[in-house]
Amino acid sequence: MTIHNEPAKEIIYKIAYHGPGMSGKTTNLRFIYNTLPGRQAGKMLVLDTAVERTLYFDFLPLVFSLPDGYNVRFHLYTVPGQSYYDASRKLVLRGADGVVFVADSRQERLQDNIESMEHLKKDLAEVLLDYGSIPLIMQWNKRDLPGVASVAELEAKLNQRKVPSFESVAVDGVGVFETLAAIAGGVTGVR
Amino acid sequence: MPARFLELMAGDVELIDAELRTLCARAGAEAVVLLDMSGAVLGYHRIPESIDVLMFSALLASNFAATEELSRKLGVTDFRVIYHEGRRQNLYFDKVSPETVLVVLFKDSNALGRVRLFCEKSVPELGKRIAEITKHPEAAEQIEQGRQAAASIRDIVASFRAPKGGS
Repeated sequence: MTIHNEPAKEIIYKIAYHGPGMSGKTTNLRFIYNTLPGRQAGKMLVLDTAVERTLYFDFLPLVFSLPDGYNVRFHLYTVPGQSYYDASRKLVLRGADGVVFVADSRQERLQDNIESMEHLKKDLAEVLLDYGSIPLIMQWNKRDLPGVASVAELEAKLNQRKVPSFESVAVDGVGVFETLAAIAGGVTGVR
Repeated sequence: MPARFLELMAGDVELIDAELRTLCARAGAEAVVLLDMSGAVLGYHRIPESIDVLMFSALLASNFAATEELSRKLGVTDFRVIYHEGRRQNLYFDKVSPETVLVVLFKDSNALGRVRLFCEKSVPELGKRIAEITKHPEAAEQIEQGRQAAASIRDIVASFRAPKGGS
């Protein structure tokens, strides 16, 4: 839910990074956190397990001050990718203004991506959000690894809405800010 | 379908802040925060500087949402309150509306009954205010102004494409 606090001159958007386990959602947020200056990126909260899988969610607040005195805040969350975290994934999606779907491009993870996309549709419906209209950006991650599916195949199997998509190597920052810029544009209505 | 926008005007913020200040004083609380279930802060009073209020709110909202979901799965339909008892400080959550929750931080030297009593007085007042906020006739127009302000972000968004240290 977008919150506009008129006296504080502040607008807050919630963006959820969704996708299968170990696809690179947390890596996206870590790169953003490590790259943006402290005045733009707040503290990053990571709730993970001993094997670095997101247990509940990661949270990274960003703030951008506009020349007219407005502060536009983006609250970035990641959802836990593993299918057995159904309940907590749904809760993180609650009130989201936009979604980034981070797919693992490797051929061997194609089925996991497809299942994760089905979870996304179901979870959005359960938190009363519409998959067909919510701002959505696709990210084809891990493009540097061997055995990746073609972009055409990923588009055909995962990008039913034909929304903008980006190839990425999140661990090196490739495609990370392009994706963020696109979803920021989507939720604010700026193209 | 939950509201997609929440429009807080100056009068709303003043009334919410006044109610939170009153609650804090009457309940003898350390701090109070009103938050949206998506994790955003709608108002707070006396949050210590040592606490990052954005992170605090994200965790509080998810904690409440998780317990609410757990209750639903157990068949509890009227879930409203969580009490978390710490060694020195306690947390009391009280649902204000389907998308809003009030959280009170208080010391163990304070009585839970006192906190509960004054939350029960404040929650209806805050609930009325939240309901009014969602009924603002000018909300759509105001959010459009917000969008226009947000349009200035275009330059910042473009800067994402060439971040320092990025590729």
